[in-house]
Amino acid sequence: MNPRLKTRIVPYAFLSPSVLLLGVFALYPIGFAFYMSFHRWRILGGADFIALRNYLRVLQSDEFRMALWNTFLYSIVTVPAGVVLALGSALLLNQPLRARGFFRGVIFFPVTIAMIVIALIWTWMFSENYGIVNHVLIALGIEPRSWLADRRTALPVIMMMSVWKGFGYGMVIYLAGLQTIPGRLYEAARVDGASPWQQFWKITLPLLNPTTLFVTVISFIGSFQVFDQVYVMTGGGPGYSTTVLVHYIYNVAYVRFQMGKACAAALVLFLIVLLFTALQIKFIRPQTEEPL
Amino acid sequence: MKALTYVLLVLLSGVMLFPFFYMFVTACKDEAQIARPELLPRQWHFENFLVAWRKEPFTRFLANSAGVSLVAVTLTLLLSSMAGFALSKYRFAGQRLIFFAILATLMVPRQVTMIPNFLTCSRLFLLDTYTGLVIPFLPLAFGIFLMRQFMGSVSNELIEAARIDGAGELRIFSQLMLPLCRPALAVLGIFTFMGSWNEFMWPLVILDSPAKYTLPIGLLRFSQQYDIQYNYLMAVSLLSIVPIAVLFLVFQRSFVEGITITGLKE
Repeated sequence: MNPRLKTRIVPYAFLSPSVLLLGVFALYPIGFAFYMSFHRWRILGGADFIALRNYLRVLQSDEFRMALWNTFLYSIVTVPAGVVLALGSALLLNQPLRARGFFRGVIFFPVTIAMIVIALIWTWMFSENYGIVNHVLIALGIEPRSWLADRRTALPVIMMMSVWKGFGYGMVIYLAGLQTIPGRLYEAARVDGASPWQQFWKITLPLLNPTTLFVTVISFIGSFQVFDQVYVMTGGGPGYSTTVLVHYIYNVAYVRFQMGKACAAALVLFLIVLLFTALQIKFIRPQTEEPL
Repeated sequence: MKALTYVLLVLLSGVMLFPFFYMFVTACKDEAQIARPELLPRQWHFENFLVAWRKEPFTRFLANSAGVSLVAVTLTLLLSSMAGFALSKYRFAGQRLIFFAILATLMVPRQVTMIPNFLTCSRLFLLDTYTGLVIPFLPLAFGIFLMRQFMGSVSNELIEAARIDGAGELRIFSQLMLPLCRPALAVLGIFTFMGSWNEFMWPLVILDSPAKYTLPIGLLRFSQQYDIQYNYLMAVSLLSIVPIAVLFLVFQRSFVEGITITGLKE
């Protein structure tokens, strides 16, 4: 073969397996999800065009609205809590300390563990009869609760567990962000008589804005896709009090096999994530461009 | 000030470690002791780990998880580095288009693609198969992005020199590029393994027969039995995280590096 032609084929040859797989399982499904969302999907094959009716049915369903509200609550609590804990622990662990690596490792460890395992442990800790939490409450003379079977406490327990499991991820990113702040800024601030408190608000926090933006957006996207722990710990109950968006999509798609409607719901989820991400970037960005 | 930091850190570590400790002590209790308020077992039943493991075909689930994860890692490393090589070291028609199409797939939540992929798998007879479990959700887009960045920093002169010495393109890729990219491959390999080992929703959706269950699904089904005993459940849960825990202890640095690379890509 002509050597020039041969070198021209080479990159395509290297790319072809990835492009094939991504085309079939990542790119095509995006287009197909749109297509499906405008159709009623029959189990035995075939589809009827029903325009926007899937979307209307999704948006009008009480279950979807409840799921949207619960997901929103979950986000609005877990994202800020996770970001604050991540920043706090990163600040603590950015100082020269003994056993710093150990502490960092301990905080990061739950991030690496499967959600199902974490969810099973917490289900057991908050179990109605013999869990440690109720044992402690009884010892303190407080009425025990059925945490995960109670509308008022089920979602908060799931939130608490999720923050506990996930904030080590943000901590690692914050630690890297802290490395990029030049030490001379703090020296100059000390010379000018700035207190550690002032240094934090005037130097550390503003210079960490890009990191905060990244951690917030990533956590937010993750929080809107919460599923595993809800599925394992409560199954969306009691009632619909812990049903979240992905759980709703799961039920519609794989329990009721209403694939078109499920696609419509998934695309609504996609839109929300996209919208909020854009908003967050718009609102946090201007501050990061402030001159020093 | 320092003392306060240590106090805070020790408390925090306690909060982070306690659930794992509780999992361990629960696993070592017998049925009568589980219900009791004491934290530690009166008698340590270490045999529970073995007993629990044998209650379900957990060895099979473990083998499934290991097989699936290792294949996922191998494929991801190989395919991403090939594509990353092409995108970073060649110029060709359609290059930008292909790269942006790959990046675009990263933006879309997997719940969107999961439904069409379920149908695709059903048409290709891949439901309830290992192939269907592994292939659709390989982290290729992320891998290609990572490898392209990393390979971009390898000097072109090095590649030219190898070409002048008569090395073919395949040889340049396998004997020059791959060894140079070891750090990036380690990060990508660990992340792919972790993702695959811990994956929950996709196997939940496509697996049917217990013989194909991965550990997370095996654990889920075990936990859903109506007379589930928490000592046994905690014992197998603990055993299921051993591989990841070992990997984490050995490669903690790569875990952290991986997150840092992905976190600071902007």
